[in-house]
Amino acid sequence: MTEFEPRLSQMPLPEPPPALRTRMLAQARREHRWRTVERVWRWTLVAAAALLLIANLHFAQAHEREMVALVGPPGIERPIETKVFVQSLAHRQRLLTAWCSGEFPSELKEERL
Amino acid sequence: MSRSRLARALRVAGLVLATLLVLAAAVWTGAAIYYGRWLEHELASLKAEGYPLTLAEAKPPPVDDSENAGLVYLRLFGLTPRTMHLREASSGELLRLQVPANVPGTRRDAVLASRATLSTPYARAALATLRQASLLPRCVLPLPGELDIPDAYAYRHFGYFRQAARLLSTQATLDGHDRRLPQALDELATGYRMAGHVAAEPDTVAQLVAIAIVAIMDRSAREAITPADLSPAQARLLFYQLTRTDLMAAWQASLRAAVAIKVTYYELTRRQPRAFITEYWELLPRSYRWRQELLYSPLGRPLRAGDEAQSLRSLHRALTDEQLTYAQIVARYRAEGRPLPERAAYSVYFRAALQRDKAIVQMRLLQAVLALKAYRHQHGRYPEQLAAVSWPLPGDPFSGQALHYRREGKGFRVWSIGPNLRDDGGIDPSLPVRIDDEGDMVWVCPT
Repeated sequence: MTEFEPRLSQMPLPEPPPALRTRMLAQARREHRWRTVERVWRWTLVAAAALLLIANLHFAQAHEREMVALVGPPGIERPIETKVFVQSLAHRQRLLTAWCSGEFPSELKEERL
Repeated sequence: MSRSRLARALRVAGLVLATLLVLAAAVWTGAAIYYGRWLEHELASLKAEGYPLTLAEAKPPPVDDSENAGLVYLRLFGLTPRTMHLREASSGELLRLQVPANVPGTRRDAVLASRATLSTPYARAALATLRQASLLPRCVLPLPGELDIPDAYAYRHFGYFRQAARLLSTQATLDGHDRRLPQALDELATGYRMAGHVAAEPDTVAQLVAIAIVAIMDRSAREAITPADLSPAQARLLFYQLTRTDLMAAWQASLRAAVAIKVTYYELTRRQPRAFITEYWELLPRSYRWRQELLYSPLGRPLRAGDEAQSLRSLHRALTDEQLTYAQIVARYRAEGRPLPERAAYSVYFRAALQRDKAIVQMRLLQAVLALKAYRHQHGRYPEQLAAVSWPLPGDPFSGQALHYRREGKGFRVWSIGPNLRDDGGIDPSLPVRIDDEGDMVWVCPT
């Protein structure tokens, strides 16, 4: 470090020219405002996300309880094989749709119901 | 762009993105709560009206094997409660019997030609087994999907039931032709009892098959009974058998089960959504598939709840309609200014209600004819008015009033106003263009 630098650091900085000073102050204020808004917004989002999470968990549990109370565990004596059940329903749907569109499936063809 | 400005732009973009995500999550949560509550509400209102929501509730009460006609029928069909759902089960001997189909015009000659077939030991034994089964008080068969059989296929037994009805109908026509009236009446009663047993299966397709059996038996009933002279004792047995075959009550029970089947289906596909996608894929219109993909993905959970709630609400409305006769449903549509359902999937119940009422009319016309034949046996002639018959004659579901009746020469004509809900004077309709445009349903006895 030269001798000049400590001396320079102790010297007050010259005031910027008034036009520049105004611009610099405005920019600093904007920056400050933006950082505040950003911080508030960020925490708001965090709070909203937390609330949504809690609401979801709470509702999912309440909904599950209500559904079990209404419908109970599915199945008759033993658990139903989903694939089998859906297959038989799909077959039924095919029969009824064909019946409705006039394409009588073999199960219902002869009597032209 | 300076580094600080780029950093700031990135921070803004991050915030905007996070905001959009939170907004989307809020909408998703709101939809999940709204549609979830709606689904709960629909289920609760169905439950409050006494509809079963589980298969266990919908299943008919258990029956002792010795009283279960279903097992006797299945033995005759060469099926078991397990194989009745198998696509690959081999065709039983009953299906190989050459009995004529229910085709108008050609049937009578074919019936007479099938005399040799019906005299085989197997056909005789089958007829005896059908009679024995039909006399049992209950018929309980497994519900669709109740058995955990891979690659199962439901409704295989229905083909056998229809073949059994054809066998009974052919035999009844032959017996009527050969003047063996008690046997013909017994075979008709067996057929109608079997229709009642099939209708006891709580399923829409079972109801349609029961209606088909009634249609098959109706043809032979007309051929055997129209020329016959019946004593009151002979007529009474079949008359009261027809009273006991209550298609309307069976229909309502099957609709109640439809709720349980639908709710169970939703429960299962909620747990295994891919099962839906793989089985129903080919049934879906192409434009509809992406929607189903979304619905059955985790993201689509709220929409699926909404879809289920909407579907249950539609079913609930349809079921409320189905407590009514076809004529009452039509009156309700007209009063509300709604167009009648056309040939679309949602018109299954509407269309089926029409066919159900036609089957009921077929049985009621037969009851009226039996009562009139019994009257003639007692008084030597048919009455001038239907009201003169002392037996409790049920009315016409299409008009809500008594059946129409007219003396014609030595005989009579009795009729229902039919699906067009208009009295055409008891004229036999020509083949209608639309199912709901059919005219009167008529039974003519010339002598």
